[in-house]
Amino acid sequence: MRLLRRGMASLLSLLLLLNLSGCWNYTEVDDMAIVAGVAIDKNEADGKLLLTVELVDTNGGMDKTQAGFKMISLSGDTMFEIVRNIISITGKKLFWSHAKSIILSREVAREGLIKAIDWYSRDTETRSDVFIFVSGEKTAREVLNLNSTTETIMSFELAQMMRDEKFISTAPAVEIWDFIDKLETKGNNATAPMISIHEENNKQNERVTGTAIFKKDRMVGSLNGDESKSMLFVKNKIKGGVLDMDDKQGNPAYSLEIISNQTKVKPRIVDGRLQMQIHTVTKTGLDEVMTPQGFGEGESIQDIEQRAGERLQTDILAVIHKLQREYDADVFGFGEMVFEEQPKVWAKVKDHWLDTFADLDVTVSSKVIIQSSAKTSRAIRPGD
Amino acid sequence: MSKEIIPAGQSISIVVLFISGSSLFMGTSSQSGNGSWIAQLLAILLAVPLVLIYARLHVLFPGKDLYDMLISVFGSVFGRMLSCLYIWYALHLGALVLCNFGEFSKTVALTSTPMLAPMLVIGLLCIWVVNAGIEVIGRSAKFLLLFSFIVIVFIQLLSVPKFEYHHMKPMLETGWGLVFADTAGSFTFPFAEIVIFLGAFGAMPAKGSARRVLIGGTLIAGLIIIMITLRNLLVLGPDILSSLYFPSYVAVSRINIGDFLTRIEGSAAIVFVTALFIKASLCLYVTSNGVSKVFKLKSYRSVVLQMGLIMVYLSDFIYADIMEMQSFAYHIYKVYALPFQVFIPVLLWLTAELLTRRKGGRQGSLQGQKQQPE
Repeated sequence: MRLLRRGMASLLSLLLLLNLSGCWNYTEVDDMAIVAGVAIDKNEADGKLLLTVELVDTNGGMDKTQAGFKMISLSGDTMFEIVRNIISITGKKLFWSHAKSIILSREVAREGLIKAIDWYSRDTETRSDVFIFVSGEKTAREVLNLNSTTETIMSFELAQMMRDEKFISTAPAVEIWDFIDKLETKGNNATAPMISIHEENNKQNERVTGTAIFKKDRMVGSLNGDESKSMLFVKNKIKGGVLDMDDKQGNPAYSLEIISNQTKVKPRIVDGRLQMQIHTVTKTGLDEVMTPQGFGEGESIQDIEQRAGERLQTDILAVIHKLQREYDADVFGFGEMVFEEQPKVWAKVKDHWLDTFADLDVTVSSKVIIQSSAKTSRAIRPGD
Repeated sequence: MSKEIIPAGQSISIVVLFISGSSLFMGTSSQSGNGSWIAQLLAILLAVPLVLIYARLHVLFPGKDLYDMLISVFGSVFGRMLSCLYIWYALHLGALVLCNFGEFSKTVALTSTPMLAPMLVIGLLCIWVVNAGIEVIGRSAKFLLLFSFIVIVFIQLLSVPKFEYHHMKPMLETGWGLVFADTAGSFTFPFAEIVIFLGAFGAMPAKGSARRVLIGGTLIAGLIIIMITLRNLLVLGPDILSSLYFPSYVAVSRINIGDFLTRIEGSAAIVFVTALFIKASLCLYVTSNGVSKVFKLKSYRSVVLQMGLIMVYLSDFIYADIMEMQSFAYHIYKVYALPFQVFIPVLLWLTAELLTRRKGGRQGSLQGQKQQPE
């Protein structure tokens, strides 16, 4: 009996050995090709999708302080087909969990994004918290290819840029789940930041500024950086940034640093017509005074506050009118707000919401409060 | 054979984990969009009277389990036929739970591991724990509930920054019809599934209050489920919510605290496994117990291994894929489960009450009369 027990016990421990050897499908880091980001283009030759992946090069030498990168492009009919076929080039399976950016070419964006991003949000190897960009250049690939001049992993740099975007607020930071969320929600249109190449002294850098406007999954137009800021004001997405102000003569004179902003949008029925009432309250600090007259003498703080408010009001109205007239795309989510606040009205307008949006009445009232003037109490006053 | 008894605290833990188990990762049926939490509330309200009936059965037949009751009320032939139905129900439910877990691990966690592997591992663990006895299930449930509860509350707090309260508006946009459909769905899955626990009533102390255990357990589980439903709704919004197989997992994956505390969904999945382990174990216990009662075996332990392996195997081939599983869980199950959860227990209760009344006049209570032949 004792012998049998011992025999059983040793057999059991032998069985355990099988498990102890490691995970079921254990993979070494150097067996994987780690994807940092992708660019999706339309191949001009055959009209198929052209995928460019930026891979983190894990075979760094001793003298390297930074990980290298590798670029691979391949075209094919579907995203997944390409992704799998890339193995025939890299010899390694792509590892997607660390991917940070997707750059889409304008052409792909204009023809409809769903075919390019469905795989990304559906597949389990990918994560849905990557940032999405639309290339302002001819192709998406050339933006990603900038890494050869900047010597950094472009996709990671872009992700870092989106994290710091809150200090400038000239482009929306959009993760892919957010994009799809906006695509699916009624009364809402999606946006994505625009990325372009900034060239100076023959040195090329990437620059994220401006917004691509989508209707359904098709890009219909874009806003520049300043317009994007006004749009973000309406969406209550402003966390920071700068409001530049002119003096009375119209010369640039003041910079207001946005400390916080609160936007309230209320759909109301006024005289039987739907009206969106937008109120913004922005707390700022006066951070730059470019004239020796400065404030206190030429103008009071109240004057600056008032003119800043008026300026913001016109900017916001201008961008709303642009979206209503030119693109007819409700990127502010006005429809969703009407649905949430006035469900009965929404029931009447939902089938032709974008037409309703196009001639919606909008009122804006902006209030800018200057809370501080940073370190100095007056402008630099030149002596003699 | 010494009788196994589990104290009330442990039974409550089993009930809580049993009810909230599947919903922790499957979410709840959410056709009604942002009204789904109202549907959950209604489902709890509906479940309370049903649970009171179950508890009443324990008063009528102290120290007996479902199979004893069926056999003593409906006679040895018809009672055994009904018992067989319940054996099937428990076995099938256990297989469904394992299958949910298998699909979950195949879809999101361990994508290239065959589905059978994780299911078999959990299945073997269930077999082990059931073989060790219901007392062990009770004790592990008590410990695991504490652990799960802490994790759930912790995750709930971490997701607060991602809450978008405007998803709640407008109230009841889909109308009451869909809310009621959801109520029916949530009532059968998961609340009324607690009928399985009737099969383990034998392990409750004869004088113990089943009402306290069942009502307490249902309410705590209901609270957890409402918390989870609200979290998923507020984080994901009704439109996205309806497109996901495992909304809780996705909702947790959105958590990002200062770019530091991210990607914690893998850790959160531990809670799914603990709850599911208790649920599958109880199903296995009730199945084996039923087999032993129907075939008059000396102990249920002799069939645990067989039943457990059948359960794992059944869970492997029961659905072709996750889409089938989803459509069964949300559309067919609410009709399929009704006889087991409502009709037969209510019939049993009414008949038992009637018998008690009739016998009560003549010679004390039904219990006194029925306990003699055993």
